[in-house]
Amino acid sequence: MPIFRLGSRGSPLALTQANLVRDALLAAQALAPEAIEIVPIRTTGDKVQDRALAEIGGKALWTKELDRALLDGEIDAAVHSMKDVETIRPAEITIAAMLPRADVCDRLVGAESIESLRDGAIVGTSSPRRAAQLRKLRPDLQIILFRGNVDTRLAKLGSGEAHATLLAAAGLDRLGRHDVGTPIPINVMLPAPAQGAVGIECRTGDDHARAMLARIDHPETHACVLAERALLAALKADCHSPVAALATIEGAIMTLRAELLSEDGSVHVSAQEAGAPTDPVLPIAVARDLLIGAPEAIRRLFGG
Amino acid sequence: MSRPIAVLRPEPGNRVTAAAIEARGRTAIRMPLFEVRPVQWQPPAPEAFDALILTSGNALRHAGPDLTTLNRLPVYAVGKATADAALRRGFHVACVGDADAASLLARAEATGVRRALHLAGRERTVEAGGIVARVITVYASERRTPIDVARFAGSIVLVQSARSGAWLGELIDAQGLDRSRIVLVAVSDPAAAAAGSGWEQVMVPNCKTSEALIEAALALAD
Repeated sequence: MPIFRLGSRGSPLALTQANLVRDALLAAQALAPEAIEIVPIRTTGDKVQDRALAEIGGKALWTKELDRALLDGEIDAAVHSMKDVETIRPAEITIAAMLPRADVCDRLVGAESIESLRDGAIVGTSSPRRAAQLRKLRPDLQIILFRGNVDTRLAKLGSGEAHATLLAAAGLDRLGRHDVGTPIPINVMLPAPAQGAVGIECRTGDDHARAMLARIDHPETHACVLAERALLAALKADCHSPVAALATIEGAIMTLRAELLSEDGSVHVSAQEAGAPTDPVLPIAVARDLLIGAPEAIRRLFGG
Repeated sequence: MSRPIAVLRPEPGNRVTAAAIEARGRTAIRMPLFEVRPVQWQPPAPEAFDALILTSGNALRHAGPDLTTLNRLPVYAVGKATADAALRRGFHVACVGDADAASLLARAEATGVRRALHLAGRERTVEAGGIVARVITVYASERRTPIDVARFAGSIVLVQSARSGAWLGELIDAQGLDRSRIVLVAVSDPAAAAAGSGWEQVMVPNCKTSEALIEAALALAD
């Protein structure tokens, strides 16, 4: 029997997500248990831990090795946190499926709330979005670089390197850490585009893999994440750009809301539009609204 | 097979109405007859005013980054969508009106507003006078000529303003389309009248909401 090889990064969270995909394929009776193998692949993003992602080459660090393994036929599909997947993908690779989205919000670890952080508190994060959103709410906070997987970040917090950090609720929940941190409502901190979504890519020409993965696709999540990614494309945003976005679908109408910030959080602009879930113009309209309303300090961060 | 329903209102509302029609399993024709564009403006000193009157989200959408210089003015908004958009742009919303501009102005006056600034469209219903000290145009809606006017043939058309009714009539005649094969669902008698006569049917629902117009159009489409 041919073995279907699911490539994944090697972090505990990535492997947990790969197992979720495996379980979904089994539940959909797409494959037998003995026909799936999870193949951990070490990425540059995993190896380099002392610099911000944006500084050492961006999101490609997470995907490059998985892309190569996929295109070389070492794996049949690659499991990703969609938040880590670059906006523009090679034509030979297709996002074939997404699992149902988990909790999209951020959790604050180390304090009860953003307001309760003491004056000048140190907060560790490597995300330009989280840094800018925190500075918008609390200009007195000191933001320091915090990279690594969930355990590494929690250990840094435990050792006193920072007073607090922010982590994605979805990742914590998937690791069974339901009790870690306080959820920050999305009207206080709008999440990153694609936050909470696990996606599976395969080779564009691999009809067998595409058909199998289609059986576990969650169309609502897929539509929302594609809209958020299309917004990033329309903004010509990169991983240096502090941008938040969230699409939701209610009663067959998609609402896409987004926020752009200056790096220091001193200025921000937000917008929201609604339309059909597959309307390709909706993300473009939101991008246009944002850029029309954006002061120069924000506009210079976008447009490539 | 049900007849397609054409939506004339400008974006961004066009795509919302079209999506609602598609969600009900019908075919929507996205045919905005107007395009809303920003108009250059100079923000006045906010000290001269005690309130900001907003009757459309378009004012917030098109006013640009200078809008933030007015953030200290409390907003009186027509409609929740406009109020929400004002909140997103950093304003404090003092009052949300659920009817028309006139009733909002009455409420504003009752709460003590005396020198309001109104950021408006070029085609507007509120002019300076009374508690409105000044009106500044920040956007305009321009006529747009769709390339595929022939798609109106045999459709149900949602006419949501008198301006769009008039422009629809001109476009249909210029294209030589048969009015007697097109049904209009109009938001008001003036909107229906502006389109002229000769249509297969003209219906003006009692309720003026977008939902009521869509319901009426769906019933006629089947």
